[in-house]
Amino acid sequence: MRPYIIKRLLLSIPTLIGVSLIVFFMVRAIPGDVVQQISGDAPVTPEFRAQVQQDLGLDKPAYEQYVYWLGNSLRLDFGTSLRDRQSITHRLKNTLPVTLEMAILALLVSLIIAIPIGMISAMRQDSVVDYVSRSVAIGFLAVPTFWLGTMIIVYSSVWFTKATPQAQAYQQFWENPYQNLKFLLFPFGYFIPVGPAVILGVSLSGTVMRLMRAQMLEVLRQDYVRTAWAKGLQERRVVVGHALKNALIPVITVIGLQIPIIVGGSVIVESIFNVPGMGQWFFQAIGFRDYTAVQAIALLIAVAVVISNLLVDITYAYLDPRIRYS
Amino acid sequence: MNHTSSFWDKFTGQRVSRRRALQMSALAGASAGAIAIVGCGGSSSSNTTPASSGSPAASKTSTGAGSEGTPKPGGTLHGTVSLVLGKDPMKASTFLTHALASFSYSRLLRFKTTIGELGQDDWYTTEMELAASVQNPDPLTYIVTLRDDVKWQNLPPVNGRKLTGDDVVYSYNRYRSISPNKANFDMVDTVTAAGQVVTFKLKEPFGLFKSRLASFQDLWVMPQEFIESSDTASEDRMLGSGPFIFDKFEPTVVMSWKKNPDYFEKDAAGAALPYLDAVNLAIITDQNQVLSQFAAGQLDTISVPPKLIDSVKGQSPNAVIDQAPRNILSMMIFQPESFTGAAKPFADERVRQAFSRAIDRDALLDLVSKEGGEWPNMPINAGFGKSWWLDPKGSSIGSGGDNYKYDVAEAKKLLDAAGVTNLEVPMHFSSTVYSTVVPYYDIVRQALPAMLSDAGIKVKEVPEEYGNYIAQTFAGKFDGFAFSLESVFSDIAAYWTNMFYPRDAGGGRNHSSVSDAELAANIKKMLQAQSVDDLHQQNFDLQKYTSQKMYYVPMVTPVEFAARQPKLKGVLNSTGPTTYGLGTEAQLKNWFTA
Repeated sequence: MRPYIIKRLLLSIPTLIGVSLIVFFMVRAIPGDVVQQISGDAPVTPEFRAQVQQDLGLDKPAYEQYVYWLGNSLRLDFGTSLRDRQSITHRLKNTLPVTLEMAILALLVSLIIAIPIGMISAMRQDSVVDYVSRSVAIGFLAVPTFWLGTMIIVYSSVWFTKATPQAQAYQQFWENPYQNLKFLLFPFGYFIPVGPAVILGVSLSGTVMRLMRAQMLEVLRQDYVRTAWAKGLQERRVVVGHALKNALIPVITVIGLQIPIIVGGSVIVESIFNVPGMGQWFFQAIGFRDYTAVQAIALLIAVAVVISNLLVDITYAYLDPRIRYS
Repeated sequence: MNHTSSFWDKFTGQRVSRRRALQMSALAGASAGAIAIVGCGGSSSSNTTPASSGSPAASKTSTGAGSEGTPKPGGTLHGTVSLVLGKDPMKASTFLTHALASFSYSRLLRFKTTIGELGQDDWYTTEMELAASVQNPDPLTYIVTLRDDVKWQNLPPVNGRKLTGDDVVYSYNRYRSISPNKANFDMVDTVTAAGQVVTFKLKEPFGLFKSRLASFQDLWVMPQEFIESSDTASEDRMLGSGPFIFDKFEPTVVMSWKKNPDYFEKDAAGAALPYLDAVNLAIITDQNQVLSQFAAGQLDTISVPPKLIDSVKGQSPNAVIDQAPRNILSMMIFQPESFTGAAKPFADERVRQAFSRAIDRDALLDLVSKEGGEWPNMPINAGFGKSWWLDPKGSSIGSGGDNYKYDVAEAKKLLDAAGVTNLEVPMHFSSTVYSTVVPYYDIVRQALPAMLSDAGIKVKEVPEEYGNYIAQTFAGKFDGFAFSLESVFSDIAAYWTNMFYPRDAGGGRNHSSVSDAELAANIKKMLQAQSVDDLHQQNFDLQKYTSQKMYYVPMVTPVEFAARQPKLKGVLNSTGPTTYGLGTEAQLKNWFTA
């Protein structure tokens, strides 16, 4: 296992370099530069442009900027924001945990919803429970996250004169777990789960739910499951002990692939719910051609995707002992 | 996010019983079921009661200080901004930075304001801020005597020292060195200080010089020790002589200030200003979130896009709604080659006039805001008030007013007379940002092609991402025409020079490269006028001229709204300069009844 992990990690290096190159040069290729963005809609005089470019190090050749940035990034120094001159690393320390936590919670929410319902739906195939579950899954897939979030924001204020907490109410998990989870899961209190992590999770659960059902149906028809039934095992033992593990293998793959979707979804959800995370920042940074911020965030996302895929592969081995890495 | 929570202390001091744990599990299970209720809930109309809005005049705030009672000190004002783009008003050109500057910084003069309604004659007139007096012994000399009781905020490195004339000279020199707006003071020859007296010597007369000193885009007085304390000091925090002391800034979260206990101004009764203990601006980008926060009472004041005013009245029936036209110009700009190379078709003024006559401005206003609005003149908008803005619907504008009238038949005739048939022309516009900052932009933009089509003009829409739009179209690199916006300047002179002077002579916003020597000469003559009456008359004459020429085709100025909780008192109406000078012009005299 260890050689495999090391090999995978080494293989991820060219991937990450490729991503960094693409991000670095693509951002600069977009028309409209950061000097113009700093100037707003005011005209940019040549001397103002030269001054800002010098201040920001943009007067150097692009390859030189890239090498300098990559070297610093390896030391976790992502430079300063071109927009507000604040340290990117410092800001990442504040925003990355927020988005990461929201993503993990969203994933958990989606699994909590999808796996039991997918299982039950398969076990009670063509029953009312199955039809309702499938309808719910289609509904979750069909309802856009931004719409659902907006409806919650709007109707909570219209019907109950309630608003979700402002970003300044957010507290890190290790500072105050209750307030932290309330912010992301139960923003109106009373354990009503309509927070940003829940909305994000709900939108993901539809896919997992349908896949879980399909895999479960397939596994339940396998000979070894039939044997388990024939041995007179209890239903819970058959399903959880024998069928579930095998049914989960493709589901785990999909969960791994959903990491980038969660990151993408967090951009919208963070804006709607005013979550002080990395997604909102990323969106604004792109609009303002904040090259250093965009590069740092994109690189981190790439790292997250590489790691999550590695974790998925490692999980295979746990779930299916037949899979061995060499 | 920097809370020093005692959560863990409380937690470690309690035992969670088995019964309590089971209760929590049950609640979690019940709440999981609520997902389906929310997700599958049908639509339903709001059961709120619309507020009585009445006529525009009736819904304006009009309570004078006397009718509101005696101001009570204390409380935190909760407002919102969508974006913070830096803290140094000298480095920035964006109003987003200038709007926040006056919480912490001061100017020599500021724009006149009052609680409630300010008569239009007083719009964009100045009053003293750091200055105790301004003398103008001759057209080229302005002698500003500073107040003797102004201290910098009591924080290192200035530690509450007295603000002197040398601080003004330092600020002026820094402004002239780094500000993207520094051309606004090109008329100044020298600035010198002797104690509390600062003397501005001009190269040429400039009748609106006092307005320029009050401008929110230009001469903020900032302390040298602070600015030079580090390379990023002025971007890390704010330290000035203003009414509020910068407290904290967290990107996408909050920007806040606390009361400056040593602020120099007092109210009429001699009580210290500001009344508020603190100002807290939540950074919220989503408009629905803003309305929701306001309805829940978590924000005290918000600006409201015209289309959403009914929602606000419905959700917050007790809210006080203020309304006024803003000074942002919406307009068509034409390809620069029309004026630099006489390129057809827009070199012919009849074509530009035809475009203007094809626009049904009242219909656009109906689309944008049920409270209506005004027609802007070019380049002076209704938000300047009737002392400066010549109403295109009025009789004083003369024959140029015809160009504003919706008349498709006449538009076609003008096109025919210009020899233009089957015109097909690109229309550039910004597909992002503008619609967020100016909510009516998209509505007007979407209506334009159909209106022009009625006059036989076929429009090919060219959407451009904001950054690209600003770098290309806004900078004058485009074909056909564009539907554009112009940011707010603090006096009429800035509009005239920016939009009609040659680009290399102060015409930084001359998007179409309009080149009219007669117009430029007359603008210069107006700016040198010393009497207010002369200034007004010449300003009106210029607007008559531009309404004939239609170098730019102005669109509409809808009424825009601000909403506040009834407990918030001491509020200025939202007209004119109060849009910008938040700290001193708008929030200085705010107070809460409870």
